[in-house]
Amino acid sequence: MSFGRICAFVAVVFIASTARAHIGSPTVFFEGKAGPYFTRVIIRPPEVVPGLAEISVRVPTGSVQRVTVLPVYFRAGRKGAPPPDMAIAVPGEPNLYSSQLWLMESGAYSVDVSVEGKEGQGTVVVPVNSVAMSRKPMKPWFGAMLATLGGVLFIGMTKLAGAAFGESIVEPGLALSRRQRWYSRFGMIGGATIFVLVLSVGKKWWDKDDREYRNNRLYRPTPITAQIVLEKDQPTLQLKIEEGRKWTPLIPDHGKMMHLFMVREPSLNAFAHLHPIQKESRKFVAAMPPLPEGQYQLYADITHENGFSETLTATVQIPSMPETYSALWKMPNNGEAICASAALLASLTNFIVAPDMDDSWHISPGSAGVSPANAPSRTIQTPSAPLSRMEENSSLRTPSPPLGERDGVRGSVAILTDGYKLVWENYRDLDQKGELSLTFKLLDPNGRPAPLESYMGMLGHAAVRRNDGAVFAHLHPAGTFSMASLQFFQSSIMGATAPDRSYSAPQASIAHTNHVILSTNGIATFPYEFPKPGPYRIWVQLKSSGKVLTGAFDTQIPPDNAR
Amino acid sequence: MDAVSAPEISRPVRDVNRLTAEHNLPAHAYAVLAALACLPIGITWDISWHLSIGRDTFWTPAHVVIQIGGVVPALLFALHAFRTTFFGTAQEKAAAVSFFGARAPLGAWVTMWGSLAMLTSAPFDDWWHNTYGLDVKIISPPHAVLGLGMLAVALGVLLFLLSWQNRLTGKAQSTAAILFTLAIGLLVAEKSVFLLEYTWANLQHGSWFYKVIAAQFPILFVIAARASRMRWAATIAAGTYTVIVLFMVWILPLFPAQPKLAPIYNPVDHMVPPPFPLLLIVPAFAIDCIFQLFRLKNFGNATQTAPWGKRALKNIAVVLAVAVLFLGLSLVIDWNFSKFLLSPAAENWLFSGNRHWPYYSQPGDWQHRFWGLDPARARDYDPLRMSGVFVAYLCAVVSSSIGLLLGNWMLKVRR
Repeated sequence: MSFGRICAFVAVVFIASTARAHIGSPTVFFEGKAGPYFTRVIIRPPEVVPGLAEISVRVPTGSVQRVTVLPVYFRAGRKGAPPPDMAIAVPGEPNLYSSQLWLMESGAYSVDVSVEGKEGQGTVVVPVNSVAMSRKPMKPWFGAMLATLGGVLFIGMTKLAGAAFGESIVEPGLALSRRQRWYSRFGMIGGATIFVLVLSVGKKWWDKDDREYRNNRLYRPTPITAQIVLEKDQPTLQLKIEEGRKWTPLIPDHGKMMHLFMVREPSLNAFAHLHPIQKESRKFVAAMPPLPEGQYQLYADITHENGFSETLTATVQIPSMPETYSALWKMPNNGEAICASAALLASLTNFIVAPDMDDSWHISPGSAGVSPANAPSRTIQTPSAPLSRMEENSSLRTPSPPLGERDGVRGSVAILTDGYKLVWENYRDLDQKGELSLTFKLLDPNGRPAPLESYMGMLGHAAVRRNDGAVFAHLHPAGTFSMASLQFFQSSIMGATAPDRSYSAPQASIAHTNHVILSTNGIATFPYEFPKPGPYRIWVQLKSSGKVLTGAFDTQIPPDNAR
Repeated sequence: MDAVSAPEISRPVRDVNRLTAEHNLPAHAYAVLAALACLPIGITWDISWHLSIGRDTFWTPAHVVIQIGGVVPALLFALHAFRTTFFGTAQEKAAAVSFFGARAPLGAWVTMWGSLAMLTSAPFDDWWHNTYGLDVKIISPPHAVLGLGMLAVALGVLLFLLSWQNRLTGKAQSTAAILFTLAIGLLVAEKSVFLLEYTWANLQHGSWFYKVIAAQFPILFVIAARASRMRWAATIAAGTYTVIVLFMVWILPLFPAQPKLAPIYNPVDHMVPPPFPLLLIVPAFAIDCIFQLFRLKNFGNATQTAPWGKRALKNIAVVLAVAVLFLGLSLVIDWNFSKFLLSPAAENWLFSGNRHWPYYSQPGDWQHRFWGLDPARARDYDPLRMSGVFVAYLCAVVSSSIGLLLGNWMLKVRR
């Protein structure tokens, strides 16, 4: 492993642990319009390959007559796809259709979901990764059952081997001689020995296959290392993809080659969403925002040119920033550090490595090196106690009395910078099991819904992380998939331009432009399903008035409510 | 009779008549053989299903045929055991072996054991799919359990028919011998399916192919030649295998099929046939000739009466000769015939050349050339060298030896 030749003023390098397109949260959500039909698609990929993916399609409006699903493998394209499968209407669940599809190969797939009805026909393309993610242990009862059957077979074979060299070769009606009885016993010993030998060879074979699965077939993330490197007195974050592993070129997602999320551990009180520049094929560099010192967990979302998306992970120790460097990030008018978007920076020319214009970060109150005065805050507690208060303050879910009336409310409101507030509108839905629509409303300093602008082509971004790091997901209102993968599978090389299909873009997905107002009611909704129970933190990033505003929410998912 | 000598001889314990010319094969002997035929046919069909359509259920026709092959013989034999144990005549009970008090012929028990092994493989295979993914290869540990179970089912049928062949007389004995020989042919066909991944024509210029066939097939042909009362038993067994495979080669493509799994690189529109059968019939014929030459055919005088040393020498000579001829003929025939099978001349319905590739194989030059001959691909590099021929010969010697030992033992099987 190479740590680079440049001088690191402080660098603690860690090896990536686990990764996937999202961590521990493989279910793919998609929301978009299939022709005239609003469609929500949920794909639960198999944990092994080949394996069965479960597909649910919800079409809440329209007179739907037929829903079909089609698996498309990246290498074969639609030319190499089988006839589409009919999704079956789920009894008792109006507008819900389900199907199962085999994903036979590892790599990027898409599932084309076509909806037909009286209003016409439309198709959406939903990218999904197909990788072996786990090796399930054998349950004790199952092992006991196999052992019992094996025991019966052992006894049977031993007995039959005895008969083969004893009774079976004696003329009917004659009894065994003493010698024949001994032959029979030797036969039994031989039979038992052969059984044990076969079992032993079989076990070695099984172990070999198991090793082969763990080492070569089980998905392992591309290893990445991170370090803080000093370049002309300015700290930069450098990421290196480890040599020796197969590495294919990347394609931009929302116009960025990499979306990097940083979470300060263990307090989780600092968060950044950066976009490192790809300096070389395996090397990425980003300007380091003035985050408080400490250890950070890194999640890097990338999409390969074959449509396969990954989330690479690493950790890095960030040292205390030199004062001269922190000064570069201060607003010229009030001298305070910016905790929002790099787009606000007055002068980018002072940086050796310029920050990306869409970089943003968020620091919670009380963080080391950050004064409460210049730090946006976050609130939200667990669903239990605050929930009752939510009910008491139902006005939170509808606009919009003056903000002052809600200043005392905790449990669903994140206080943002510059007087903005972010309200988690359907907080109570966490009581439900399964798929959710996490709905947030941004209120301006006057308590009015703030118009939402395009942030890298989307209505908003959200990051969900279980506090122990076992789950991490990057969400959009359009779903949990990589937009770059979507574009790959929609491209003409995949044969998506069949005349009888109208391929539609997902909801709220538009060209990457700034200051384009996508919503005037301040509401952004993120489809998601919490995969595991436990404490989570959710960072929601919305853009208004040219500023990226980040709100953080804590919540607790009860054991019964996770998928 | 004194106490010392008495145990050295077999003592009659029941008043049992020997079988006479009036006796005949029981009806279920035909039924179990017919059911046994379902195994090689069913698994060949099932493999074709996986190569052509891909998606299946527990109840696909091919699976049902396999289930018939595995379950029906066991059920018939279980019925036989029940009847013999509780309602059998003294003669029927005497012609059976005891298994924890229950009585049935050895072959019946072996088949039931094989059926239980097949049943055991089902949950194991299901767990395997859920843990490691659906296997797209034939040889995996749970499939090996299934294969062993199938072999045991077939071996049981074989032993059952053998016990009748060895006890009957006259025409009935000939009938039993025919059924026994056909059963060996079915066993050869069954085994050939499990060896499919090692016997592609593309592998027949490498050493692994010859090692595999030398280790696996002589044992069966030697058993046939030694234990069956038919003069050309090994040849007939090989012919049975050939006919079954040819039947599948020619019939399967007549049925339309469409792949239902992605990715599809080879859009087949019919059921994919198995590869053309190996020309095992030639070395099998040679094995029959050797056994006749050495007077080791079972014509009712099977017991070798010569001194032990002379018998041993004779058996060794037979084994060495079988190994030489099996391997030598296979080398000459398969080496050259595989060239033909890979050539455009074989690309027709008769030889099925280049028609057995699955929907998920990417068409290319690799389909038309021999594999394992490129030194640049060290992992697969496996050219046929003298050392490989020698190892293959040793495999053939060991296989023939085991076959001869089993054949000699089978001559004694009476119940």
